[in-house]
Amino acid sequence: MPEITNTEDSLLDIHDLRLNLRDRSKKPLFGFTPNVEILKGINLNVKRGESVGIVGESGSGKTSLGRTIMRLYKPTGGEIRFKGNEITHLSQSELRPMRAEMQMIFQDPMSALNPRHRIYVILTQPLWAFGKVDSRKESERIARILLERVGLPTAFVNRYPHELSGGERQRINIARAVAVRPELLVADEIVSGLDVSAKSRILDLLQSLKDDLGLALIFISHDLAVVNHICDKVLVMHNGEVVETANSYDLFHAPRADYTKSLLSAIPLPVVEHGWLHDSQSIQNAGDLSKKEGNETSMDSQFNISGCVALVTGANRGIGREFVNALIHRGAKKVYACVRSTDGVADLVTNSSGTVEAIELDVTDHKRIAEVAQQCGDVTLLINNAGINRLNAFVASDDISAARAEMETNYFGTMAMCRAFAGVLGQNGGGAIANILSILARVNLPMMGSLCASKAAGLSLTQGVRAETAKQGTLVLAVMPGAVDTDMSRDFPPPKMPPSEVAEQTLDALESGLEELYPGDMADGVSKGLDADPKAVEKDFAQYLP
Amino acid sequence: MNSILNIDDLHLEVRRDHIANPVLSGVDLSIKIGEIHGLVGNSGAGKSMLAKAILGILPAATRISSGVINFDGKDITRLDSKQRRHLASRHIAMIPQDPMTSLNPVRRVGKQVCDVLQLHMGMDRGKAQQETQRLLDNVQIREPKTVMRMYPFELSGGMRQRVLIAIAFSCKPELIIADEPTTALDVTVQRQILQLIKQLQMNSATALLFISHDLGVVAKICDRVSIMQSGRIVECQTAESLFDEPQHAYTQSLLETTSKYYRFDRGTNTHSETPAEHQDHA
Repeated sequence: MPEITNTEDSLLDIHDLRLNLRDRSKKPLFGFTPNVEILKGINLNVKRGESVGIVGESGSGKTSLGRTIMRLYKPTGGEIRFKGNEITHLSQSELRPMRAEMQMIFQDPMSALNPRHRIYVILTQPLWAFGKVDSRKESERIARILLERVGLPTAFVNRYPHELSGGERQRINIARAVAVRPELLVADEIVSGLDVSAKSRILDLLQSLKDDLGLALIFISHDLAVVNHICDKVLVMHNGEVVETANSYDLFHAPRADYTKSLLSAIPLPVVEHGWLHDSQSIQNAGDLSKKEGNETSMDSQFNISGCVALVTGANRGIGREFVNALIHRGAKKVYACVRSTDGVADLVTNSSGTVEAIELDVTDHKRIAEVAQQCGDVTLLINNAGINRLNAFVASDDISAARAEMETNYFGTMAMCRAFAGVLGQNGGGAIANILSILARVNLPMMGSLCASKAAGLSLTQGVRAETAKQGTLVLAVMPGAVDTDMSRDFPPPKMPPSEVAEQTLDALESGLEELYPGDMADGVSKGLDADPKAVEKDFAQYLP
Repeated sequence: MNSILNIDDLHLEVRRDHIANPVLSGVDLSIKIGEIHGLVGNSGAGKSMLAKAILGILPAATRISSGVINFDGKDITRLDSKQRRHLASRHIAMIPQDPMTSLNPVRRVGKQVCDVLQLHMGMDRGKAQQETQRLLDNVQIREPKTVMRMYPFELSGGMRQRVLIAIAFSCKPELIIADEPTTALDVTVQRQILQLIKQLQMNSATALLFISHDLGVVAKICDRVSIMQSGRIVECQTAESLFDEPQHAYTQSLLETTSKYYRFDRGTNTHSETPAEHQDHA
C-alpha cells in the first residue's frame, strides 16, 4: 500500500476512498434501492509526471475509481487531495477551475465527440469554456496546432467525427484533453478498441505528450501488456480493493498476489504454446471470476484432478493402489482400476461407493487394451503404472525370456496403452498421461540390468508420446522415483519412500503441469548427480552386482 | 487433406459515386476440414468483408467482381438468395464480435436459441427447448433453465458470448466464422471463451475461420494462419512456422509491434510454488 506522502512533488493523494452506488437491478417495487459497495478503501498516490496504471477485470471498480478521482461520482467516504487541496466534498462550481488541471479521456472515442460539431469546435470547446479563446479564427488556429501535435493532418479542422477512423478519433480526444494544459490526465481504456498498429501509435503519442508537458497519467486498462509498456507504477484491483501495488518491472517480473499471477497468465503472448488453453492455474486462482461467469465446471480436467476420470493400470498393489486412494481423496469423478484379476481391487471398489470400477486388463494383451479404450471413452487421465521386475542381469543370466517379459509389460504395454488412449484423451479435451518409470531409466543398476533397459525405453517412449500429442493439448508426465517400499523392490536396500508419497507427488506434478518428476530424496539426488557427472553415478551403480 | 472452403482469386469492389473501389484484390484462401484457421490483419484490411462475402451478406453497394468461393465443392457465389440463405443458416454459422448488440434485447435468451432450432432444424417447440437446455449446458452455463428465462441485459459479456457460441454450434455447421469473438472481453474471460471455442470445435470437428487482430490470441488457438494486408493475403502458414519464421515483411512488422508489449515473463515461479504448498497438505 502506498503511504500518504505530502511531499512537494505529490500531485494526487487518495486515502481510504470509498464509493457506494445504488443497485437499481435489486430495487424492490416499493422501498429503498439497496447500495452496492464499488470501492472499498483505496489508497493511491500520484506524483507529478508519474504514470500510474490501474488494471483489473470488468467489474473490479477501475473505471469507477477513475471517475471518482475526476469527481464525476461523489465519494461515500475517504479523501481526495489534488495538489494538497481537499477536493472530496467540493461543489460543482468550486470544482470548475480545477477541471483545467485534470482531464479525462474516455474509452469510446465516438460517443465522446459531438457528432454535429466540426473538429475545430470540439477541440477548442474546453478553451471556450475557460475563456481562453474568443473568436472562430483564433480557435481554428489553435485547433491546427493541436492536430499537428497529435500527428493528424491540419485539414481535419473542418471535418466531422464520423469521417475519421477509430484511431484518429482517439487522437482528437487526446488533443482536446491536453488543450487546456492539464497536470493530470485520466485515460480510461483508451486503446481497447484499436488494432495493434493504431494502439502502438496512440501509446507512443501519449508517451511523448507526457514527456513534453510533464503530465501525470492515470492509465486504466484491462490489458496488462499495454500498462507494462507505459506505466511507472501499477495498481491491481479486484472487487473494489487494491490487491497489489508495485512498480511495473516488479509487477511483471515478480508478481506477488495470486490474483496478479492469474491475470498475467491469461495474457495470450504471441508465441505458439499448446498447453496454454489447458493450463488450469489461472482458472483456479480466478475463482471469483468463474463465479461471476456462472461457470465453475473447469474444462481442463486434465490438470485438475478434482472431477477427472482416471484409469490406473496395475492398481491392485503398491503405487497403483495408492494412486486409486489418492485420486478418490482428491475428488476424481471416476477411477478405472485395471488389474489382471479384479479380485485384487475388490475392497477398493466396495469402499469407494461407486467411484472405482474394476477392469480386467493385462497390458500385454493388446486386443483387450483396444476393448478397454472403447469401454472407457470418458478417460481424461491415464496412469501407466503396471510394471514388472524379474531381477535379471544381462551377462550373468542365460535366459532371455525374463528380459523379454519385462520389455513386454514395461515398454510395449505402456506403448499400447498410450496408443489406444491418445485418441480418447484428445476427444476429451487433451487430458494427461503419467508414465510411472524409475530413476533407473537414466542409469543402469546391474543387479536388475534388463529392467533398467525397459525403463529407459519407457522414458524415450514418454518423450515421443509427449511430442506426438502436444497438438491435442495432452500433458505427458514421466515419473522417475527411486526405491519405493513395494514388493517390486523388496531386495533393494533402504531408504525407501512410501508408495503413497509417489502417488501424491505425481498428482501434484500433474496439477502444476510438470513434464518430469523425480519424487523422493534418492531419485532427486541421483538425477542431480546425473546432471553433474553421469560417469560417476554410473560407476556408483555398477557396484551393485548380483 | 480435404478443404471445406476454397476461395480462389476473389475480387470484391464497393461502388461509391459511380467509382468502383477495390476492397479485396485477389484473395486465395483454403480452410481444411476440422482446422482453426486464423485471419489476421489491421482494421480496414478487408477481414470482415471477406467473412461477409463467404456468408453472402455483403452490403448493397459491394459486389464480387470476379473469383470463386467453393464451399463443400460448390461455387456459392452463383447460388440464388434462397439457396444461399439455406447454406448460411445450416452449414455456415457465425460468432459475432459484439455480444452486447448481437442478441435481441426484448426477447428471452432461451427463445432466441429456440428460434434458430425451430426455423433451421425443423424442431417443434418442446424438442427445441430441450435441445436449447443441452446446448447452454454444453457452453458451460451453469443453470441453463434459469438463464433461458433471462433477458440479454441480465447477463455479463462473457455469458452473452457463450449464448452466441451455443447458437453458432446449434445447427452443427461445417464451418463457423468467428469475427473477433473475444475483442470485447477482458483477458481472463477471453481465455475461458477461447478454451470453450477450442473444446467445442474439437468435439464437433467443425472448421473455424478465426478473425482477429490480436496475434497473441491467434497463436494460442489457430492451426494455420493467413495474414491479410489491404485486400490481399500476404502470407499463409502453420501457426508454428508463422511465429517462428515469419516470411513476409508485413507479418514481421506486425509480430514486432505485438512483441513490443510483451516484454515480461509472467512470474515463472508460479509453478515451483504450487507443489511445495501441496506437500504441506500431504
